[in-house]
Amino acid sequence: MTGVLYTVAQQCLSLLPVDAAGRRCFDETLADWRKEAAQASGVLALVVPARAIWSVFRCLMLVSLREIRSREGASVLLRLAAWSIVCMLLFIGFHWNDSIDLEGTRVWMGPIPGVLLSVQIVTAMPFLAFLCAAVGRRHRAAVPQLGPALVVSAVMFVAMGWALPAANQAYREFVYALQSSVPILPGINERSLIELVGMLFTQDFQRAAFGLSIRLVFMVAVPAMLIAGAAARSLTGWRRAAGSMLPIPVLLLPALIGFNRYSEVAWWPALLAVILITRALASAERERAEVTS
Amino acid sequence: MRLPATERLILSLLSSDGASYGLQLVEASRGRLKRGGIYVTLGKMEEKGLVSSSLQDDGRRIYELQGLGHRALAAIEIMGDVSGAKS
Repeated sequence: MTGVLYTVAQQCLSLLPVDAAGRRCFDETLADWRKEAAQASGVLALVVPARAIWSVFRCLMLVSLREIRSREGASVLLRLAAWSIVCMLLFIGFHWNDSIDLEGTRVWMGPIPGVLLSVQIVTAMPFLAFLCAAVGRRHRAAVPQLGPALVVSAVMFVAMGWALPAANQAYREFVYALQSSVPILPGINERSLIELVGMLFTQDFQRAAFGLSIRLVFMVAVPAMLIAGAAARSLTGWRRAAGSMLPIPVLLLPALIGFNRYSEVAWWPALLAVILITRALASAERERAEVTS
Repeated sequence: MRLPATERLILSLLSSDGASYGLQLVEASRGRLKRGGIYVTLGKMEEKGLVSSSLQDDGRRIYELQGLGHRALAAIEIMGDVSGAKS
């Protein structure tokens, strides 16, 4: 008797993008769970699922680590880091001389636009993740997806949860301090992830849900685009061209709208469209390969 | 080829106990090998040609030493653990 937990774990693992070696590790860990659950009785029947879930988690982490340490996995992450730095430098280059108009006087903002780097980088990250996985020196080499996706998810979790709101608030405080001595309170985009979750249980539910939706879409978009890019890289012919080009314009629309209530509506369907396009192309590629063989 | 401590341990367990399942190796190691994680190590060892596996009806794999694994273990026993366990 394996129970609901086993079924949930099995379904979750089946959704993960992992290579054949990683899939085998998951299958063997689940087979151990089945074997032990069938033999367990009494108190041991309660211990087996807890121990098995820990085993699955450890297996997941080690499979991811193996992918991150592989040549292709590491190179995707290195490319992403390098391009992020390039984007930051470009942003600094464009904004180093920014000033604002304050009652007819131009006030130089100094290094303050730099605190908004995180906002710019976060918007660029889904595209960078896609391109870094889709384009590389070794074309059509199998790109590990799970490990790099987990790494970027963790980075985005911290960026969207804490770095971005802190940067927003620092910018607001600088601009506000030029005109008033009263401190400015953080708005919805300046709240940390934990504060937003707490606000869900108050009268501010709607605003908190809006703020969380924006944060969540970027946490999901970056790993999803990395996986889509890796999938596009395995395609051939016109499918490769379509898979490498189509996701960019699809996701560009919400990026151009920016961070506001309209983008909240636009990002989710755009992301879903990218995933569906890539899946359809990968499926067509598999069918073609089966027919050919 | 440099063998990590976990791979050396698996080789010696397979040598002493014969063909085993991953879970049996974990139990025989008395806590030195961990559940779940052992399959990543066994996968790497199979890629290196140190062990081979065969899939059983219940979805589990049984692992046994290959010729290269026997030779690696023999080299470790001759040179000792302090040698850095190169084979």
